Amino acid sequence: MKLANRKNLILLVLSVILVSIVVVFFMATESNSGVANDDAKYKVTVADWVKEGLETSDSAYNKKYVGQIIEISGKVAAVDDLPAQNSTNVKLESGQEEVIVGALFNKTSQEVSQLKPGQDVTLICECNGVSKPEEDDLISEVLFTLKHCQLKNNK
Amino acid sequence: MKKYIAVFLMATLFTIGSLFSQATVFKTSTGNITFVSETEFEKFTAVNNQVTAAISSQGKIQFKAPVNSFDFEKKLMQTHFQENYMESATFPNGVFKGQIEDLKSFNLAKNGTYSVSVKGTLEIHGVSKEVVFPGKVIVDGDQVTLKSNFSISCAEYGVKIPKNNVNQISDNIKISVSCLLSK
Repeated sequence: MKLANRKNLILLVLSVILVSIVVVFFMATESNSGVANDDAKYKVTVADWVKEGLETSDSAYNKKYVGQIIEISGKVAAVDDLPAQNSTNVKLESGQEEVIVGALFNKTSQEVSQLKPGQDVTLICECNGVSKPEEDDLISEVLFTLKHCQLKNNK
Repeated sequence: MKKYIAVFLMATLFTIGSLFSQATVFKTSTGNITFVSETEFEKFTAVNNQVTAAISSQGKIQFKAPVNSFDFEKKLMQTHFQENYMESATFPNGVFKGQIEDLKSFNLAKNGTYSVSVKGTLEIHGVSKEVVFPGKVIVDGDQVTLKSNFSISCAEYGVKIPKNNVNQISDNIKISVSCLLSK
């Protein structure tokens, strides 16, 4: 092998190693922004999403949605500021009795805190799935939870 | 006439009995559980703000913490925790169901801070264990705060830490619970 070729090969190998180190370092230290930034895999209305959750087994539903980014549209039912946790939980109207849909915003913001019951919103969130009560549970509601939410017009 | 009086008395007794047996329940779906792992080389914290919690006036206490709701500072650590260690697809929740041991040690109808001992079953990673935890029940009008600090061993709940990570992840996990409940 000629000297020039050998040099090129060494440079190539070193470059690959360097890039690999940078990629691994980036992956290992990538911080959790706490906001769903990826493009939504599913676009749903609260009513359809809840209906699907009630008609499907927990495991099948959670397998489909948990960890996925979804764009969800509906009406605000209530807004609970959680100052101790530096977050805000927005409950969405589920259209079903005994069903709670909670969308957690990791950082409190005036825009979220000022949402009013009945207001139409579209959120981008990471889906946490559904949790249905067992027979001896004190909480009788079915819970649909979303996290890392943000208002769509803020994306 | 006697028959009517007997029926009336029975109905009254039944109503009074029902009223007394009906438990008041305080609950939330936005409780907080934080855990800390600390070794000589690394310390990390995970926070869960979507814990379901409830307490009844009869001393029943329940918590349900979705595994996927734990947020870590680093994304990769979170992915390892959910998929490899806790296997959240198979075991999606950590669950505690218990009972305050001494019913006279608290009163949800009276403001105050009550130190209690709660005995029950803690299920993590599909493994259930009988446990007793110390805790505080803080009653303030229509709101109740539940607080507790305790530790668990990963090994006891079948959570395997890979050999090359034992320096980074402690077997002993310190857990802190703080949930604000309302009726």
